[in-house]
Amino acid sequence: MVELIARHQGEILGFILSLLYRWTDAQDVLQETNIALWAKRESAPVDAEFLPWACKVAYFQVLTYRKRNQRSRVFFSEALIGDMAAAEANAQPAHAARVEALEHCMGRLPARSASLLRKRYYAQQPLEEVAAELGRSVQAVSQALYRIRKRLLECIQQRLKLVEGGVG
Amino acid sequence: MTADYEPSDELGVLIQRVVDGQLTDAEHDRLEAILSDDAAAREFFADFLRLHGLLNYQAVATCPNWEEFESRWAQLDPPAGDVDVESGLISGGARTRFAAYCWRLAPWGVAAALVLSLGLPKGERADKPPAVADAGSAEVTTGVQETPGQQLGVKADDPIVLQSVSRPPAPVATLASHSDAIWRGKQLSVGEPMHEGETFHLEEGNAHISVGFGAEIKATGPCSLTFTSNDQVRLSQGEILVDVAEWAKGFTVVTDAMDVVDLGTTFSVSAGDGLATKTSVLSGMVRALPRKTPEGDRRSILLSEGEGLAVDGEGNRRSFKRPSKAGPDDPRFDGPAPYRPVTLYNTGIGLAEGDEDPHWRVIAGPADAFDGACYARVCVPYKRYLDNELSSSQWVSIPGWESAAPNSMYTFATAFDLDGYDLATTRLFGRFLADNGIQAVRVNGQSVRVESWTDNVSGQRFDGQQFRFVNVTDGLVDGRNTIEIDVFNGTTVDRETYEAVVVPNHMALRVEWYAFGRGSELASVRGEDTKPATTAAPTSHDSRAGATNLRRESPRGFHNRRVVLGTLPADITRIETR
Repeated sequence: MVELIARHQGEILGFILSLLYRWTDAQDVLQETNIALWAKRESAPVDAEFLPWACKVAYFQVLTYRKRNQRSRVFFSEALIGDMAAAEANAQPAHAARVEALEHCMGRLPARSASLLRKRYYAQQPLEEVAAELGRSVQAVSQALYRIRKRLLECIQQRLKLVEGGVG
Repeated sequence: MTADYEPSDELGVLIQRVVDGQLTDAEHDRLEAILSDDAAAREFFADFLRLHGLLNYQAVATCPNWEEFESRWAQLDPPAGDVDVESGLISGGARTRFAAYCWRLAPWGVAAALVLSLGLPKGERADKPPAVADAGSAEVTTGVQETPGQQLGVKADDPIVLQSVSRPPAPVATLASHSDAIWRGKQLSVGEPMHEGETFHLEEGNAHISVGFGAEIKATGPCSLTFTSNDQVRLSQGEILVDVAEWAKGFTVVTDAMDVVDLGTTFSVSAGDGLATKTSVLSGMVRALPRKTPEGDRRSILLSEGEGLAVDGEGNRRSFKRPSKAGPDDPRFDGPAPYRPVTLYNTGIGLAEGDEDPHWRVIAGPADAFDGACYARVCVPYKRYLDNELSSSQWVSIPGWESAAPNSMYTFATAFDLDGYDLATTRLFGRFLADNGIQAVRVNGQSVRVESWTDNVSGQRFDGQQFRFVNVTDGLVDGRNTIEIDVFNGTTVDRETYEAVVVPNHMALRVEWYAFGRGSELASVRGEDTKPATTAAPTSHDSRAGATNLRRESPRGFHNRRVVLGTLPADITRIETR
């Protein structure tokens, strides 16, 4: 069970992020979700059923968290969160396929793009610092990162399509 | 999936603001409106944020050695068409494979640690630790009280913490003497050690600091100094006079405007308060490296006796001459002989994994599971161990170290030579890392005061934070000395039943030394030649030992008998004088 939870941390975190979008909020909810998943481990499904189930658990944790904190900051409405969660929980590609697609597409990035992503994600450098290092404006770096992620996303989606279709 | 969807520019900007953590309330409302009206936009937003989450998670959970990633990446050929940050996706070769390696799914141990450190209710964790799936076992404490160090061990499982793990700072200098010195904060006493990373503000008076690497620093207040490593000091403000022993060539004074690298010399440096940074050479030679180089100008400048250089914040340079009244004979340098590193060998230094270490032996073990004394062997680190570092230290152990006897003691030993050192001034600091801990340390058979420790909790990692310092000042003798270290090997836990099981498991040791002492007055009284000893292969902290090009007088007390310090004869056995 712990292995299942651990293996899907990235996806669960991504799912929570899509509903709450703030990094620190999402991390808090991930922690609470992990506790909830562990508490419900006796009834946890395995294999392909695990992630949709975990996302449902996370969805309720998001709603609870939202309720608790809505006075201090804005969140998406419950209706929008519900729409997004409903669409997503059933649309999660298989874990292995997603990771394979990410690996494949990361490897196809130009060196400078990969370097920028590494600075932002691996080294966790703030945008301002990356911008100063590269001698570019914060806005330019933000835009470059957006484009890189968008291309990466397109590549992952194409890759998943190929794999689903048995070509890749 | 949203493969054919092209988000509007407005949505793109809003998503950028989201992932940059900059979204305002007004932008939030606009984003919500767009997402509420457009299912495709919702799908794109969700996919984008999921990728953002996955990248964040994958990044912190994999490839913990960032420097290694950078250097290996740099060595790989860039794929064809590698031209622009916005140029999109292209095919690649070696980098594709390497990126796949480094961005792969988190290794189980780290992923599990994330869950354990974030997710499990305290009660569950305490009485029934979840098993580590592919580790075979997870080590637990048996009969040993938990210490603060063990808490650190748990914390080190956090992948974010892993990135910033560093060793505890080593002592690199001592306060040799002072007159009318007033320090900001705690007042220092003579003999007090100064550690790497520590900053000292001398408000008033004079201080003489002896750096273990072999440099004597005379500081006059106000002056601010930071020891950034064993061979480098940062001067933020004030003026210092530096006298560098010949074996310490390369000692560097860093300032905001320039670095001054010693090439065997006595020199002064002044810095701070918006004035130009100046260096001038009293004897010998230095290499000055201004931080900024005006176009067409020299990157570094060699300065010899009587020459000086001033550099301002913009990199503007001005040479000047100074009368060379002062030098090694300057009365300001009257005092004890400079420190000189003692050659002690860090475990596994410079060796390949699988090599026997000529400087370390395992001389004792449990009666029923020890095949006799042998050279320690460099191990391929277990996955929860700090990586081996060829140039600083590596894990060593017995053959078959993966299945060492549980709840047992193994004794490691190394030897070194203190011929020519003043024992009263000699200091040995060992930085120890051991699976599972150290029970005792002896010098020449005499116990050294050590608070024994055992790191043995579930999922225990042996990283930089588990290094402990052992300080050796007593029990040293002239000539050859031997240090013995008792390493305790703990038990494991069955991953199915979560119960402690007394079965063979990993055992290894890692040691890094910082050791220095002054030359013995007796040696010079005996009329021995005072040239420094030729040392054996350099250690990480003694990388310039054996340099011979200098014109300064050698320090008192070191003779020229060629010795190979620290090698351990094959016949060494346990010393029975305890």
